[in-house]
Amino acid sequence: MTTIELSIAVVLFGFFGLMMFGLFLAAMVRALVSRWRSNTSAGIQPDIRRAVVDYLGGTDNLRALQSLTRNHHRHVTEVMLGFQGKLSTRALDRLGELALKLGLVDDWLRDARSLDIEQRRNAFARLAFVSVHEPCHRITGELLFKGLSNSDDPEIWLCASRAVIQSGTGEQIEAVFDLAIRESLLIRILLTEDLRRHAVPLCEHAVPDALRSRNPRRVLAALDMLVAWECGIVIDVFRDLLEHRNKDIRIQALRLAPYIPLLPENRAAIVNALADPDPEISTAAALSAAQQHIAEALPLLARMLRIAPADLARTAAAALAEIPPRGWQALEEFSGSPNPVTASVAACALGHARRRVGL
Amino acid sequence: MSVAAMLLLQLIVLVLFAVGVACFGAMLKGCFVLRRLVRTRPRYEGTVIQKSPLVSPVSVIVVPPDASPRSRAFAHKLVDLQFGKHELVLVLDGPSNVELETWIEEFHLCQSARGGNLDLATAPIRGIYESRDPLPLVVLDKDRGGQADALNAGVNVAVSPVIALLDPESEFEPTVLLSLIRPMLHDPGRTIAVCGVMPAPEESSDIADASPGGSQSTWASLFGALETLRRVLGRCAALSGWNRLIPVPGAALLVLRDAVVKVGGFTAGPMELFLHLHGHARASGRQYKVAFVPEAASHLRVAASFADLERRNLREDADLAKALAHRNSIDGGFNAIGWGLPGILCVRLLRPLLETAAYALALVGLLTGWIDPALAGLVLLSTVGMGILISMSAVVLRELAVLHASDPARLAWLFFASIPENLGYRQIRNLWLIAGFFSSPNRSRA
Repeated sequence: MTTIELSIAVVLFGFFGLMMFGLFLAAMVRALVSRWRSNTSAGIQPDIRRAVVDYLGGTDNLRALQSLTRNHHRHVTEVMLGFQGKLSTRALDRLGELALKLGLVDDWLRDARSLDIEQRRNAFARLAFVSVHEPCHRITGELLFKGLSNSDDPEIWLCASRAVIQSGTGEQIEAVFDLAIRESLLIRILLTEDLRRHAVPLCEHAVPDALRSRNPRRVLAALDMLVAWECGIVIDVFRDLLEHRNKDIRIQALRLAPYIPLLPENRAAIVNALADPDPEISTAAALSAAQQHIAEALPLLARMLRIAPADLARTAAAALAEIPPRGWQALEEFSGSPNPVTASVAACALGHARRRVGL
Repeated sequence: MSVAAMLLLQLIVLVLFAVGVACFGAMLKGCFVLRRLVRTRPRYEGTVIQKSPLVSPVSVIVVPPDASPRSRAFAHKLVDLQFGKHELVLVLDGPSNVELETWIEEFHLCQSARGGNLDLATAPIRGIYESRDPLPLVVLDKDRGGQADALNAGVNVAVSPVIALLDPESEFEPTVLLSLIRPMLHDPGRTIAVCGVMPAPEESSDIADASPGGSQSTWASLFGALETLRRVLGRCAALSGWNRLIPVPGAALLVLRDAVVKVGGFTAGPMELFLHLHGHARASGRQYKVAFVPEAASHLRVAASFADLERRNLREDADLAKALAHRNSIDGGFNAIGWGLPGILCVRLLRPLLETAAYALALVGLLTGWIDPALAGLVLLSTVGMGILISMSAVVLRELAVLHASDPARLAWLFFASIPENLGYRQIRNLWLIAGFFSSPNRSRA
């Protein structure tokens, strides 16, 4: 009986082992091909780079590059992509023109519809790179813009968004902004910096619309972007945001306040926030009051320093230190407080402030 | 007697086959998860994250065991991490005056007015120091209270909403925090913790240069690499696919500070904390995720010798035993991650015990004639044969999961090292695992 079991086990193990060995051979072939490709690439790339540089320099002789593209299509693409972030707009234009003349753009357009995610991603990245060249943009623009709504791959969104931000229309850029505030914080962070250069036009309609939205997620996302841009925007609902029932929106509005022309009602809202029982809100309010030197905040900051827990007291002291001379006077008085925490925090903040101005 | 021994041996063989098949199943699941993670991860430059004011600050907490040059070098490495806003909270757990002076001199420390809150109960803090140099560093001098107590003190003093824990045994890139933070930014509402680890990259090991009959360190590094491969696929990737991920040696971890405070802080180490986080979130019925970051940003150092491998296995067992010793204080206890913890115990304790018992029984049985040689063959198949196939599968499955092909020489060495790994080393490792598990509670008490 055991012999039969052993035979069955041996057959099963043999079959499984053979399968693993087959997979190992396939992996070895892939590894060897990959090594061979990188070796070939290292050999041919200097020639390709030289030819591309010649073309970017103004030589219109395409014959060598066409021949290289026929034989080393992948390496030519790699070399061209290697120039990313290293070229002037004019040279970039010429590189786009070269990609078009060599037929690479058509290949990438085909790859952008591939089922292989890696190939699709690479294609979008390449098309986004050359789309600064107007003729390329005319061909790729629609596909890239569609990539924003039709794809579910964040990397394709990023590539497409960056291309649209570079050379899209106002409406298309607003669509990218909409994507940024709709999607995850990660996507927002990655797009915020690219969208910064369009902050002013976006603040005309898209941003105010988002801030007026009833969806707290959209409001918070728009505030996030404004805080990251350090960009002020005069908006009639700003006081509502400072007094919003959503804690995160209040905190972000308080962070944004220093960049916004300060109206009396907004100042009052910031001062009121200092007395908020939530330490995160009162901390944000203290920092905001300090940055804007709001004198009306002094009594409440002094109160925070006196009675709040150590962390909050330290923030209040730092805020008072930013509002000389009355804030400094208050700190001097508190340095002699019988409460050791208050006294040490006040003395420390005052010392820092004085050292900063060289006193 | 002989019939009973034979039946027992047959039962053991059956269990060993079942455990082996389960291990392979877990690795297959891990391969699919890893493949999905690698392919759906957007590529972008970390500098964008580093510069963004929207990214939460991170407090890295570390409890150096002493003030040795190695501990100080590790602290310097942590201070030099690249991240937008981060600080290092270095907790000195009952240092001697000489040790404290060494740290003060090393980082030019001065007394700080900074205080901590009292979210978690800890032994008294004697002093808080900051550096006179422009370093994001806070040093806590506290009465001795053990590792968990020191970590809790660090959490109290940390001002960032995210806590990072890095393994002193690991190698990590300065950008490790930028990689780890990504799941928290992608899904901030649900992600309560992140665990990042991958096998050592090719350039950090000498496997590719190994020669036949090479030195002990070459074999140790090969066997260490195979162990790490199995661990990353079968434990990290697979368990993350089932949302049951707990830390492994060499992993870099991020945890939300609020989540740590909510579960009452550390009672043993990071593994027990993660079990507690899982148990608490499951008990409360909330949607949560412990994310896995499969990036080479953090990895276990390449094993230099067999003593190194022994120490690592003992340490991993000690962590597991400590977490089990505290199971009563963990929400969900032994089932905090469902069948995850029993499964891990099966692999790290039950299988070594059964294998060792099977070898002994088979040997005695063969010598006394109690058992059929075919049954001894089955014992070999269920232990050595299964081990070889699982290690070979780990090598192949990783290749299927990752985007870029490995170095051919390294790939071949790893694949064929599965054979000697299971002819000698596996049996010794079984003894380490058994010894490590049963000796670790005493050691942790000491």
